[in-house]
Amino acid sequence: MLNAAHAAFIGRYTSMSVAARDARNHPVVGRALGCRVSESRSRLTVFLSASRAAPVLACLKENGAIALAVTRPTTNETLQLKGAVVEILPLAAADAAEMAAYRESFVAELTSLGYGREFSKGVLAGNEDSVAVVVELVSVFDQTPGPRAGTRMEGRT
Amino acid sequence: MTISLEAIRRCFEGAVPAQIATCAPDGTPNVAYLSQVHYVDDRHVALSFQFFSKTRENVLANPYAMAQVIDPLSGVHYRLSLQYLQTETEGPLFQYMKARLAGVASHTGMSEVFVLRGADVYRVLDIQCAAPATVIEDRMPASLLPALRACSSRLVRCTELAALLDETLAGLAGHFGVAHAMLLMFDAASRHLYTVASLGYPESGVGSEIALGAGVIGVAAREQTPIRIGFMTSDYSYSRALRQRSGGTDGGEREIPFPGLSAPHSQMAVPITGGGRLLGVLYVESEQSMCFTYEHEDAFVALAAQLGFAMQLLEQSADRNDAVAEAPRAKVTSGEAVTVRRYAADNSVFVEGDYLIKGVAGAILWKLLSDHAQGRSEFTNRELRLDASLRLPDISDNLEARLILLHRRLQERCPYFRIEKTGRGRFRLAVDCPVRLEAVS
Repeated sequence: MLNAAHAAFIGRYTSMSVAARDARNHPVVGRALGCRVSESRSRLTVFLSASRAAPVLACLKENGAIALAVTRPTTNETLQLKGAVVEILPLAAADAAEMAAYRESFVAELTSLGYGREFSKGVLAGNEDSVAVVVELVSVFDQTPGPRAGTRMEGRT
Repeated sequence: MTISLEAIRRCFEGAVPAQIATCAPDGTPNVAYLSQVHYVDDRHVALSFQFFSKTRENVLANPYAMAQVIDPLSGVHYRLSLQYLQTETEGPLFQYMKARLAGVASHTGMSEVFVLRGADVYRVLDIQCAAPATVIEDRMPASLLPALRACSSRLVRCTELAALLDETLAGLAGHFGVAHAMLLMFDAASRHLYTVASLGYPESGVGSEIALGAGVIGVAAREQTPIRIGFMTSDYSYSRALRQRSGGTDGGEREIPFPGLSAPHSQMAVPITGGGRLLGVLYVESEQSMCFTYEHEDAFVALAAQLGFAMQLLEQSADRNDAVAEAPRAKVTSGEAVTVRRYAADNSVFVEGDYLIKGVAGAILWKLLSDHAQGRSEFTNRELRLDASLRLPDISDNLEARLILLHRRLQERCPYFRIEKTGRGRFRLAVDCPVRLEAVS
């Protein structure tokens, strides 16, 4: 589903936002605090704070439809991934390590742009009550700003 | 709505990108990054529409959206439940967003691809904070009301337009810490704004002109909307196009250089209006990014409203008490004559070959000097207003402002003659040497 370059791009130095929708087909949005690509690159494990991303998690439990936008602030390179939730699990030991590594990389990215420590801490708050959302990928879109934004890159037809 | 939109205006400064989630009719969610969420009023925001995107396709089919905005200081996230209303492709909101987008685009190195196609207006249905209540700090920006109050009280004491202009700039410097500012008046006939007072520049630039619609000042004037940009953008820079536009038959410039900063990182232009008419623009700028906040915008819009009202009153009252003065004969002077040349085409006046002024102020100076040659030196605003040769517009001729402009240009550029105020609506032309007048048609 994902190529190796995309898989490597997603997990570090990026800002991650998740969208879901409720029964009325109204969208909700929240921040993801890291993600891991499966070996087959067909699945993602997205980390969400149970308290801060509560509306998103409620929708995901209800219907499983999910979109994840990943952008690197210094380059504006952006991908959007869409899929369906397979399961929602408590964090495993390896997940916490993955979140910490992601966090460190994104704070470095924000620092290089001149954002202060307090800001970065606020943006990435919520690790303490996070859960792991396992997603089966359906499609990937290039969303780097510009006329090519929205182009479907990979996915099932 | 538990949180007011106004309380989180800092999130809309464009310092941190926002996100928007939408849904296709088949229930597939979509999430995208946004360049700009614009605060319209306490119930509406507008999002920048730059590309035909999935977001746009979705909201046209299903008008509900949710935006996530981030406080640029604390990093706290707020979620705005939105309902799409309409897209504006012209007018004040569109122009304001276009100018701001140019600043954000330039800041992020995306000038080439960031072109505003429309301003998508949304109703804000609800606002939720993503952080637990205990984390939300009460960090309202420092109130600018005391500064506005102090500035305002200075203005109400002014009885003349010149003092009003000077007190406004002194107030901006003293109470708001503004280092660079300008006041420009609108000339409806030529559709230009001309600088009448400035603060913090090596050259005052009094008399320099900006066309309606040019740059932040010109667009703010044309659309009668304040425009505030927090980042440097060459799209709205005056340094290129407006510096030293030349073209003159006298071998000299007919333009006074615009005094503004060559690379301002923060700019705000606030139109000054009165009775629905554009009177001028209050402009402030800074070498620092994000120097002016929403609170500054509120304060300066309030200040400009007071300025507009005061300008109209002072313009009207300048005609009062102008009983024709006993006119002493002009003093006979001796010495070398200075040559004053007037070009009828644009009323430009050159003194000893140096460009001084043009337009209505140029015509006024020419009339004064011609009358002076006949032995007159005392004048009234009223007679200028009634003088058909000056062709002043009926209403809003801004005569007082033009006299201030002329007075200041003479003070800065011409040691031979000057305008001296002798009372309300009255003044004297003082001439220190013989003058040779040359009219060029």
